[in-house]
Amino acid sequence: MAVIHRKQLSAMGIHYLYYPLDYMLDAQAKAGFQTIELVGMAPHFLMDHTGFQNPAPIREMAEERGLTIGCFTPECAVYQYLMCSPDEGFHERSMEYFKRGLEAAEQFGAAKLLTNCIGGTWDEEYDRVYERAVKSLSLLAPVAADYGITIAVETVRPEESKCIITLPELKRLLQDVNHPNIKAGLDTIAMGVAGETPEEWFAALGEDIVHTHFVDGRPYGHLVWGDGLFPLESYLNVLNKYHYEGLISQEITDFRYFDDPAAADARNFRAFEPYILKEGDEADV
Amino acid sequence: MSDMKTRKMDELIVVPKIRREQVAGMNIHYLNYSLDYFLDVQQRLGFKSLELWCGAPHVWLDHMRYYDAKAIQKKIQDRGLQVHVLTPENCLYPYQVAAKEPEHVQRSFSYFRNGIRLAEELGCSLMEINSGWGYWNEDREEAWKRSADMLSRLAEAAGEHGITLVMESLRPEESQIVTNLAQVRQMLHEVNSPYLKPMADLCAVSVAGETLTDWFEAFGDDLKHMHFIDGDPYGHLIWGDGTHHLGKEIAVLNQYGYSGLLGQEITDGRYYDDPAAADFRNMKNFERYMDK
Repeated sequence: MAVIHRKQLSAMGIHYLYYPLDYMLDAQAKAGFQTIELVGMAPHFLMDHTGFQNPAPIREMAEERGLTIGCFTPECAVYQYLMCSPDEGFHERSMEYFKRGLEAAEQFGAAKLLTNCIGGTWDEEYDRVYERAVKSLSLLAPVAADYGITIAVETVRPEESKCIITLPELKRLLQDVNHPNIKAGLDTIAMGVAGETPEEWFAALGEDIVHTHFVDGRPYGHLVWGDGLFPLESYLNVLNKYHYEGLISQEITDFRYFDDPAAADARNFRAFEPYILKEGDEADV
Repeated sequence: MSDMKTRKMDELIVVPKIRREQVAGMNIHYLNYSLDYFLDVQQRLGFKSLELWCGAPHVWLDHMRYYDAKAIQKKIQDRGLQVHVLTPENCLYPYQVAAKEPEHVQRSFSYFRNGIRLAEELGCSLMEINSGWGYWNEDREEAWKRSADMLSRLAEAAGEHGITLVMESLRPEESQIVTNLAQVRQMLHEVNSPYLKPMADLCAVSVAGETLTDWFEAFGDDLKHMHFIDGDPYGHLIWGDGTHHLGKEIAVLNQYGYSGLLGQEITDGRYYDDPAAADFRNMKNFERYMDK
């Protein structure tokens, strides 16, 4: 039977858009989480390309509730800040924004920053967008190294980007960037939409997968486990097979959960409970 | 049939009519395309007016400043287009009229105030806004008060720049402040500024179980703007994809002598891949109600 550590399970807060930070942290601690992936988005954490609000009180609020911030994700799909913006000014500000994100990640005590290669427009050539992705990540890589952060790059759905939406593209990108601080993030929705499987991802990238957005889907969605079609246990078995020790982040984004995100998180946590190692079982793994 | 009888028929049947200049193209569903692409398509399809949405990758507006206003204006004018309404992204970006935390309030005010400045610089007369939404775990009155306070401050700023704010209602899933006609009326009454006026978003109006007739009866000439889109009733759809009857809705506009803009706020994801094809269909439908 698949096993995971409680600390690997990581809550996220996109579906808490209509609730303040303290409510979110209370609910996630109560659900059983010990780790969160904090998203740099309003109203929970305000940042821009020139700076960010003081992370210390937020980190304290999390730690008071027994929560560790394992990954920091500056909002990177909806705001103006996009990795592959074609406009020079937009792109420059986006790069500054991600640098601020790396700085914030360090102050949160997070070892990872999750992002993607969204931003290229449909009316430009693929190669130009791809080259911008390589250029952007190459620019951020040394900054990430300075702050001791590893950037995990996820693929996205074809509705969000025409570039870096499949496993082979991501593999090529990582080879071209070729930097120890730029690694892969597995998003099970983008994976499912691309017709790929966790087995294919781990076979291709192995230890280079340093983070996951591991959620249920049909394959579209970003759903609570049980609301989609993915086989939880067999996917967890793949994580075990490849000795994946990173976070299993719950990036719940479907609007159906925005009204009562606490209930969604509690239900989602329960779906993982059978696989969580109990105290004292550690020696068996 | 005598000539007399034909003439009589013509008088009885009033054909719904709009002017081409009333249809205001919007760029939300072009978020996967450049500003140039959007403007080229609008020109080619026969649009004359725009409601410009401030969002990536087209227009950068934030709480600190905006960029490239002159270049944007030139691109618009070079294509024989004119922007009348500015619409800062006011649901998805990190700003909210009813923000609570002091830093969020400060940023949100600065954001919308910068929007007012950009609207003035682009020669717009209107800027679109909403009430914000508040937190689901707080007293609704608290959120309402913050919204009223922010709208008052913004209306004052708008007045100083010759801009009128037009406020739409939101869907109940996205706000607990202003989601129907009665609440719009109450908010306008509380803010009581000549620079804050109502606008009807046909989606929110329909979701609230209201009609454009209700809104005209309530606000008359004060109704300064519309998001005039199809829906069923949810969705911000191209005309023909929802359940509203275009001719009948235009007849209502005519009945109340509405001469304002019909903003095409198309937001459904199904149009993001080929927004030009969607706009083509939309404009063809509007052209049925224009004089040749």
